[in-house]
Amino acid sequence: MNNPSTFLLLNLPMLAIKEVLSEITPLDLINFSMISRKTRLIARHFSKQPPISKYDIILNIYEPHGVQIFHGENLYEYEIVSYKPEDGLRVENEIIKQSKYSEDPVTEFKNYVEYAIEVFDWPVDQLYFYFHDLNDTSYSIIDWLKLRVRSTDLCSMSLFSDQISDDYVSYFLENVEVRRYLTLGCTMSDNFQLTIPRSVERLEITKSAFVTFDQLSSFNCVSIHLSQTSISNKELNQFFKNWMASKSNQKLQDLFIGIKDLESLETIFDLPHEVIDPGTVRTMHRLNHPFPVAGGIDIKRDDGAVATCYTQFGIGSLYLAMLVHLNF
Amino acid sequence: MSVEPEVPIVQVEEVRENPVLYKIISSDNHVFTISEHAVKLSKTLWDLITNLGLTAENALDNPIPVENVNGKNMETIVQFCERHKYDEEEPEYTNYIREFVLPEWDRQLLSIDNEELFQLILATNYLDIQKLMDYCCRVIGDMAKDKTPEELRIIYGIPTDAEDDALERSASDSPGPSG
Repeated sequence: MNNPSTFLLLNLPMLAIKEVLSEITPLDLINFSMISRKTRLIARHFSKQPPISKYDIILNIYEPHGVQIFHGENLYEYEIVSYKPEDGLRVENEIIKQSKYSEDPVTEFKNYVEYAIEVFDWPVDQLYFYFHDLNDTSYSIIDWLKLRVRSTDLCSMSLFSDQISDDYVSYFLENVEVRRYLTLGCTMSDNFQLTIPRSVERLEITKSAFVTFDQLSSFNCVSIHLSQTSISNKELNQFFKNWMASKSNQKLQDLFIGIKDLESLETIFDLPHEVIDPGTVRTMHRLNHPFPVAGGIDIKRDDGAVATCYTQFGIGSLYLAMLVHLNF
Repeated sequence: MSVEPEVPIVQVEEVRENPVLYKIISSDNHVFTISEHAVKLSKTLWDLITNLGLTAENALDNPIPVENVNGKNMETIVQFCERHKYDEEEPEYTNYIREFVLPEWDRQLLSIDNEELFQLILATNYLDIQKLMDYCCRVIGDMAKDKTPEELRIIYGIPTDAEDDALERSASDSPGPSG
């Protein structure tokens, strides 16, 4: 070794090179692959083997645009900013961040993601898209996602906006494959007709005032979480009657929906039900996580499935929860 | 097996109840004593001991020659293995990142120059000591932290594409075995 400050990494046996590349952070690994054609080939080679093949990407499509990758328990982020950033790594909200200045952050972001996908074939596991500037940029990013981004089976996509963004949400859902989890935090117009792809298992709509009885009935998801909706107590009563008669929402295991007040329960549960003693505590499951539920109201579907309904106070609102009993 | 050591034997303290010791001879004829618990951290050495049928009774009379590892590296390796011989056993292999914090004692042990570290990794790879390999690779990986590709090129001594091309050309231009 001629230069004592140099460590001739590529002279190590391949197994040792792999160990070193597994040790370095994903952002450093991407930088390593950019050194030369040879390092790109080496990085690509080891990206097909665990643990590097297990990495996946989280995309933040809002200001500042960023790419996050877990390395073990640590989350690293490469963010592209339009101001001169501080030098070096910094920790923000337990995320280890590296910033890069660019005059064209969107293009720089796309190039970085495309490079990581091309060299390492890492899929996108989570995507957070904020429709901030309601202009053509959002459409072009959706087109780019459609063409260039492969998602994992456990993909979670979250869309946000503060302005009415019906067209953007529709365009996104028509063009980007949403695999399992969809969080919709966009402001929608009152008459927005949301069509949920069949592949979505868990749906959360935080600004759900536009959701009607017909829409709720059409969401064939395992989990539906809504805040306040335009659904009346009578309609909610019909919704549960339909569920009990196996007429809608057959996959539903977990419903969480805003209601007006406790008096609403009288109308909603004007159907065959069993009131459980509040002293009876049972273990229920949400997203496979067990937790205790005291009392509640049990309703039964015509195939024998039982669901427990109970109320819960959330932030400034009262919610009705329905959890179908699972046989573990 | 009978080898006369040219240098004094390096004794390693065996503090716990198991008194079984083995002798290892490095490539430059340094002799090391290592306890059974410690030598088990090296898959290569333990396979050798098992295959040779060495026992508590005959172990010290049958030193094990390790021709690929010199005395300096073997001393570091023996120190490491003795230090970690009672560590909890780790899973054989995992598809995920092995989570660990490099202990200060080990960081000090591995605070050696790059050439020595390089040779130590070769020795560790040959002797198949997973934990030491993890620790050495962490030290080398730490060199890459927050570095640009150009800085990494210098740190890891990686040729540019042009240099690689020139090397390839000179290799193809040089006469083959037949002249």
